[in-house]
Amino acid sequence: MSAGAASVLADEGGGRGLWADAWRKLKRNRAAVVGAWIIGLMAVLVIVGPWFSSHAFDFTDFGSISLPPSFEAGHPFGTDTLGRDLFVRTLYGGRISLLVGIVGTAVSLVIGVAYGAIAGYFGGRLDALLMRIVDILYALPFMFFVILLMVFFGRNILLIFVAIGAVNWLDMARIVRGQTLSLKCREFVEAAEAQGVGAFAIIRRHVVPNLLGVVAVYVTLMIPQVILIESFLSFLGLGVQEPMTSWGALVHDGAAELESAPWILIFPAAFLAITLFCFNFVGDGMRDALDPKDR
Amino acid sequence: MLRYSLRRLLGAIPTLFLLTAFTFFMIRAAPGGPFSRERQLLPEIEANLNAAYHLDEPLYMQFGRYLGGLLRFDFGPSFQYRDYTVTELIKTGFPVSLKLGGAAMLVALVIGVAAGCIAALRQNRAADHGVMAVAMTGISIPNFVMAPLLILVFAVYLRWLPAGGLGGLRTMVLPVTALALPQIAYLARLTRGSMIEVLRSNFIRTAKAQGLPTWQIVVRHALRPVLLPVVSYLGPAAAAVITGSVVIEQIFSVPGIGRFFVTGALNRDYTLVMGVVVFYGALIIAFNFVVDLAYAWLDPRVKYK
Amino acid sequence: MPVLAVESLNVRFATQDGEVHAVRDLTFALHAGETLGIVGESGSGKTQSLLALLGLLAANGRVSGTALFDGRDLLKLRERELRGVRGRKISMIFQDPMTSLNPYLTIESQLVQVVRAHERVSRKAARARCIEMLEAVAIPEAAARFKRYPHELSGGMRQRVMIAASLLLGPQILIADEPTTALDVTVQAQILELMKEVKRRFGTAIILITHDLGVIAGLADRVLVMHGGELKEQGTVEDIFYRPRHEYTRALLAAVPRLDAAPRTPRAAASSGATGAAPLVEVRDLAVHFAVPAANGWGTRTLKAVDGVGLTLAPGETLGVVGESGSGKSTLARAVLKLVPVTAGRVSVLGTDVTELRAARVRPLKRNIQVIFQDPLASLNPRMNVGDIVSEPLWTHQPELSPGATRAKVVEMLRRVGLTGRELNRYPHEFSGGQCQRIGIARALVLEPKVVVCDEPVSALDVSIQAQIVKLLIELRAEFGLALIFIAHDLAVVRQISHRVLVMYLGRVMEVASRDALYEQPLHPYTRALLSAVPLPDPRAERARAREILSGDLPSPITPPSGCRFRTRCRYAVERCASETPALRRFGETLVACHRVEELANIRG
Repeated sequence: MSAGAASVLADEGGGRGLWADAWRKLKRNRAAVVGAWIIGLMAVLVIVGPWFSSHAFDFTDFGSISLPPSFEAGHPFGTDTLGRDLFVRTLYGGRISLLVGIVGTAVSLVIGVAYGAIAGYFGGRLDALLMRIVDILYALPFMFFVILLMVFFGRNILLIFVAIGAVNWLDMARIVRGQTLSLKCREFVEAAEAQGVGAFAIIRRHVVPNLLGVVAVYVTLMIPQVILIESFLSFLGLGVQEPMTSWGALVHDGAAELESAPWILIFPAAFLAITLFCFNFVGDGMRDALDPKDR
Repeated sequence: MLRYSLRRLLGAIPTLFLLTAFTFFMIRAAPGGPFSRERQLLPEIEANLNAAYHLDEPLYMQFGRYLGGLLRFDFGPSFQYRDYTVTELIKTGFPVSLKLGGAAMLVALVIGVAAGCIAALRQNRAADHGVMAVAMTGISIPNFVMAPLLILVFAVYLRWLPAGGLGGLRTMVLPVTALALPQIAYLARLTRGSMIEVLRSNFIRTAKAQGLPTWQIVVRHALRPVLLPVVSYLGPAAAAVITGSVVIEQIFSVPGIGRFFVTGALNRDYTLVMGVVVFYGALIIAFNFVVDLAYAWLDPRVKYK
Repeated sequence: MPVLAVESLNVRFATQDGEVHAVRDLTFALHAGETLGIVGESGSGKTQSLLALLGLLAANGRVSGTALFDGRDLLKLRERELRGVRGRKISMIFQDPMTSLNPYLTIESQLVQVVRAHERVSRKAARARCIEMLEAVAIPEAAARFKRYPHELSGGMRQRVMIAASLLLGPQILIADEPTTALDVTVQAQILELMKEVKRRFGTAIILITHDLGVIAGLADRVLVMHGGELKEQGTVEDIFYRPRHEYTRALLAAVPRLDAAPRTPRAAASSGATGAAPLVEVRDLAVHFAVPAANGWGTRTLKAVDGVGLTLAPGETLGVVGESGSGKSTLARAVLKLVPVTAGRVSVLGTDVTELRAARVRPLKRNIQVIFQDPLASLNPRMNVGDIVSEPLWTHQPELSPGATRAKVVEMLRRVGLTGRELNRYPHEFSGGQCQRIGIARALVLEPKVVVCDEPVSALDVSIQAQIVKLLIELRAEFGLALIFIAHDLAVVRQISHRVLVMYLGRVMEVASRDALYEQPLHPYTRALLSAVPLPDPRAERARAREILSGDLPSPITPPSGCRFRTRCRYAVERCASETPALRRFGETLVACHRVEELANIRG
């Protein structure tokens, strides 16, 4: 098909790498762009926001229990059952939720990519064994183990990262392995092997750069999943310890007061939902940009 | 086909074993025992209790004892609910959870797949955007946020439906909806993507060129390959529904197994927790086995892979 | 009265990069019982124009013009009415039989559906009709095959099934879009014979779309030549081939590699043995076996991709390796390059036995043996720019060079392959197929190796580009004094460039001869069938030829026939061929693996 055929220019200048192409496509996706902006704003807000409030997030004020939202009273989001300012707590919770999202994803990323790349590149028996393990783990109700871990070993934030990372890496490992396997068969890798390029150089120059696209997409889609998992744990009462809080924990608190003081649930829930929405939009946008077939 | 099933079955057994072992040793590794959280017991009494429940034996012996029990479908006594064995507890709770989870899966499957198909057939038009918007909501709003909201809207404000408890069909509507929604969303997205890709296949082009009507092309030619990734996802979907049920059962006060798990974990009720995990694990493994068979039935090339 | 009259057909696509005008003002007519060939390279719009007639364009396509068929304008019909036309009055078959049949449904299911979608007949009657049609297209054991799934049939059989499906309702027009392009040349010959038979028996008018001028020459009555969406020339097949008027037609005819054309490579002075020079590459009794999962799910079986192959390559010589799919020629190439593990036998490169050597030991030798692959774009790393791609061999083997010196070499090499040398910062996807292949050639030659293995280097390119690349390779070969192992399935191209030719079938060597001997006096029955199957772009010659059409399909390399592998399709097979594997032995100047070579040579005279 000559539609969109490559141009035959012979002039100097920078080339249009695949990343540049993808970037252009991504910018055209309005949902993704808006989503990205909102995430940026959210990040700034949760970091900087609390500095501008006169309330501390853990300051309990029994004189101001369950106040509805009002700007004049100095509580734009109202207060919770212990009189703590909900605005600050929501932003503070955002810090934790986003932090868990990013670090948890990073943990999954490292484990998943290493596992998948090794299985995919070395193939053979090693691959069969590693993938068998993944198959087995995939079938298990992982959340249960995470819950168990949380209950038994205390609600240490580090443990949360590890637990969530340990749950989530399976998908990443499978994807990376699949990509590595198909890359190994690609002719340009064979060409490099035929030339005598060493294994590490091949991985460095040929395999990894071609993996990055897929990995980037899945990382973006994984962050909201991790945030969800952490929220889930917090909702069960197993997440971060008081007085630290996350959006999930705030929702947990709010659910109990739903009929009497719905704002305690609504604000953190809204922030949570909006953040997840935006990450999903950006992730979808990236997937479309980097792999147009996957629409 | 028979050989394929046998192979899959054989593969399931080590998985179950691993699951049991892993849970067992992990629980035992946790600090504190089932009796250490109550009021401080006199050491002799605690020692007697431990001996009565075989907690003083070396771990591997306890494990062996446990495995023996499993083979007789005996999950042991509950430490928390002293008058009941875990088996009895599961027996009472499971039918409820099954109704809830089963209904949720069924609803999710039917609605999700149908919605995905419609979205794909009307790609980039109003119906597609609508379905995808709802789907996006489903995966972005956690079910523990959705559930209270549903209660707020339908039970409190509109007073159309009860807010939970046990009862007839009407009490099930809200919990099933809350449980099914994320899966509807995933399945809709998955089906849509799969359908769009399948509709681009060469063999669909052939069917069109042969003059077959659209509904026939979709149902007879496209549906099978479209369902393949959906079927593959059913295993994780079941796991997600089970996980979700833990929360949903709590919010809607449904007396299923989910709540046993959380309270059991908090109270260090070893056997109860083990029982729930092993039971659900076996269920998922069995479910995956059926799913594998369904996949092989759908795709005639599988046996040759 | 023409059966189909198309006037001013225009097809436009709305894409993100603007509007693409794929077909411009196409006007032609098709008469009853006539075979109209539409020839053009990729992007010429030939397929899109026919898809437009049946309303099968992609969603972003827009059509204008008229197409009168059966008293109605096809382009104005509503979907419901079009459905009545598709498959019943006008049928279409497509290029790739592998993917054109639904892998999840049985043949029966797919064929019966077609009948019952258009006519009210019982399942039983529909089934009977389908089986009858399958027999008409010469599918053996039609009733049994009926219940099978597509993946259980070979490529040739699948295409027959497609043809049967398209004829079930007795259409007036059959549109065949590159029906044999994806098939091996011997299978192609069978299918083309089938199409001639269809023409005779059913009187269907056929529109045959292809880029292969030989196929056109054999089948078409009239021809349309398209390029860039426009009709450049139309006329009878004799007019087009013998009296072409448009310069594009002339250029196309000039560029097509012809089996009977004078080769551009001079006869080799003498075989390597005579000159006494040591062979650059030597392969002895090579076997490459792969373990594949067994059909029943347990254990593995062996796929004998290469099973006892030997060859030598002298300095400056070009050895052509031909064979169809399953012959093992690509595996052979990979074994020589040490890309796949060798199961048995020996491979020597420049005198060193590399069979057992580990990667690190082999590396210094690799600078002397390089490779060019088939798919130009896939053989270049999409994330590396052209400069880096061509520099990589230098980094690996000449790391001592300064960046400036490296760059200079790269630029010079790019110029030599016909590019400008200023492409360093650009990426592969910005170039056309032909240019990508030139980059691949630059990469292969930047180290000035002694041997280059070319694995189907022009198969994925358009005909006119093919000619350019072959010419380039011949020039560079002379300039660098290269020895080439040139693997291809296109015998005409191999003839242009080779000194000696090796013919493979199912993992074994059937014949090795000097180029002239092979093409003028082929000895092995398989070689003869192969040469006979290649369509000549010369209507009179093509239609007058005596053909040796092979029967049956390629056997599976997992369970090859005993004795001579070719015997199941050979018309001269006798008992001995089944019990005893023929060794490759000398007959005159040629090496042949056939028990009956002397007898047959006498018969043919």
